[in-house]
Amino acid sequence: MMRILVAAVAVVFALPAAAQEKPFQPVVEALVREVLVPAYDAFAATAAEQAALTAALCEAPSQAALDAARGGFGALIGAFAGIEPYRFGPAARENRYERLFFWPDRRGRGLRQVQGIIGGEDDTAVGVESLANKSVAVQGLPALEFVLFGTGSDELATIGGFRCDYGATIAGAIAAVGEVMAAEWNAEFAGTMLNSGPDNDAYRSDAEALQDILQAAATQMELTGTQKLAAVVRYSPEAARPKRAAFWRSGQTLPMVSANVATVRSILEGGVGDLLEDDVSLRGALFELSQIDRALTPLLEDGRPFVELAVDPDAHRRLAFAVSPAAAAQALIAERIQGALGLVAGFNALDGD
Amino acid sequence: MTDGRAGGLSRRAVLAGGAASLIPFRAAGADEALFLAGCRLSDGQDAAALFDGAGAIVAVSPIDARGHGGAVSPDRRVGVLFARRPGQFAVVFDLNARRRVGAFAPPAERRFAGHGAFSSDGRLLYATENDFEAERGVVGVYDVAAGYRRVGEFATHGVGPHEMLLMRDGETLAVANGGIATHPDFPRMKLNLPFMEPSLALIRASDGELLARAALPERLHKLSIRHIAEAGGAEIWLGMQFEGPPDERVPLVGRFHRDRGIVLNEGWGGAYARLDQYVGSVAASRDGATVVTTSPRGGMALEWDVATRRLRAEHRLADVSGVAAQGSAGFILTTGQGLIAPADAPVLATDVAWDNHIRAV
Repeated sequence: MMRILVAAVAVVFALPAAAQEKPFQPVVEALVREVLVPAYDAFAATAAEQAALTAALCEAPSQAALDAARGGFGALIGAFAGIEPYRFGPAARENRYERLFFWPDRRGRGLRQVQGIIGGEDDTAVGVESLANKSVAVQGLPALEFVLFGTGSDELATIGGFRCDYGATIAGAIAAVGEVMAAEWNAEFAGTMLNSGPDNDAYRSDAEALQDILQAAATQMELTGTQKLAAVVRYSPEAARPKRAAFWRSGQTLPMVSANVATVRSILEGGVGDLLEDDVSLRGALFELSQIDRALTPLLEDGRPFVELAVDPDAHRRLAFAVSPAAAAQALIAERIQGALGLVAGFNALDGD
Repeated sequence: MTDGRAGGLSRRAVLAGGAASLIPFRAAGADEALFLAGCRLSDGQDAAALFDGAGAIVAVSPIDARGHGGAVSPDRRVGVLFARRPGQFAVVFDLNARRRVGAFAPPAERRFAGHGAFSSDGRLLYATENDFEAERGVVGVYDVAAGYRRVGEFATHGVGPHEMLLMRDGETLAVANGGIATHPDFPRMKLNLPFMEPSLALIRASDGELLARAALPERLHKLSIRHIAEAGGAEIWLGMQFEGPPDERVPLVGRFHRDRGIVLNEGWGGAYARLDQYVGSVAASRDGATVVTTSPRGGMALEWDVATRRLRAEHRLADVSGVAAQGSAGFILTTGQGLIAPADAPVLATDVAWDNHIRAV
């Protein structure tokens, strides 16, 4: 086999040469320093605020305190959307990503267990260290949403009790994950992304680092389009399944989609254009993002709960419309932009089997 | 095709032959090697292809979606190529006539996982499948003579089964349970990474009885066991994919033996670091002396000495994945960039993207 492969190598090296010739490093640096790290810092800060709001609710229950904790939850989802695309680096360690956002949860692992914890007043779910040993599905954003917005949550305004203590523990756990991820990005992982090379176990080249970020943007648009929208709205208002949506209880479904779009936009506007000789595909992707915003803006201002919106014919038409530009943005990023930069992974490398 | 002998197969020629037929354009020699693989033609059409030992494509048949692994009957007359997961069809070839002769599908509530194997008498075909509602793996059993009618199923005793082979004893199926749950509603999303429990199961083919099952230690529970090959003394070599952090060094190759369980090939961190946590295919040479593991993400083929379990050589080859035994000691390799690297013939460049696996006829 050896002799044969020597011949093969000669052929192969003649093929893809583009990737490493472009000056990727400044763009990776701009993205890491101006988009990714600030997003992790913002999430850590917002999560700390939410932990404080939830703790305050438990100490002195009132409608105002409950409203503040619920309001904080919206800000928390918005901040999470800023880091949601990045499943690499600190988020990939110790199941942190899934600790924050185990979704889609097709088997209802989370909801059933969260209800069980609340119903059974399971003391092991109170206390951040003890909660960390439980399923990832009972310690993240969906679990906190159920505590604050799910059936029975209105009593949080009058009695603290177990439900509130569990909620405060979840908020504390989310804040702890946010803090450790931000700390690791600042102390170490930003440097890992910015100093690629043969001795770097995560990134052999700047091209790989940029590919991770752009692929994250593309994958986010795919997930937002297919899972957060298409799988929910389906083919008609009658067929829509609004309770499949992420965060429908808190009314954060569409704000989160909108925040996903904003995050992807911040990646695309973070310097990639400097590397492209012709920025038509970049402008095209940004146009598709604006089309999603255009479709959703009236719905964001509508005020009705998502479960009503999703089955309303006019609103449904807007939701269904937003699916196509999400798919188009994904394709433009994954194929055209990455293609123009020589960053498209191989047929088999991409396959995932 | 840039290969002269392939005779300039064009998309037009493929279409002219009709979607259901395979187009032979080179006479078959009685004893020459033949390989079955999925590929994507230059215009984007997915296809099943047969090529000979020199890498010359002898037949191409368009299929509706991307293909994956193949199975060949013991008498070498029938080949089956499964659709890539979540697969909804498998296509059947008459390997003598080099013609596509049929296709079949899993039941509505099952999807093919992309691999399968014939029984030792050739009467049954076993396919790895996902029972996605119950989130468990099953082996679907198909009656060959009855037009691949599904006659039963049994559990793989794990989630997300992928490659399966019939061991040389002719009685035991080895199944790689990758451990990753998926669902057709969420195409190709991995739904249970924190809860993964990959395993290797040995199952009696005649009745589905679980004979042995081995899992990985807890710290390696995200090491998805996906591809397997039998080599030397009933040992199953494992090619794995790590779903944890990209900079965590874990062994990506190991072996399983019924009496010894799983032993990982430790101590090759330098080589594993170049694989991007991903092994795409595993094959053993016919003499059982060598195992090759490929990594399309790393663009590397690793050559292992079976007797010493040591890494013998590393070969760099962009987007390499397909690998099958050729001759007594050698291998043939394919890449997503169109190369075919036979054991004893010059490397060929074709204009099709070769899919993950090659099945030797």
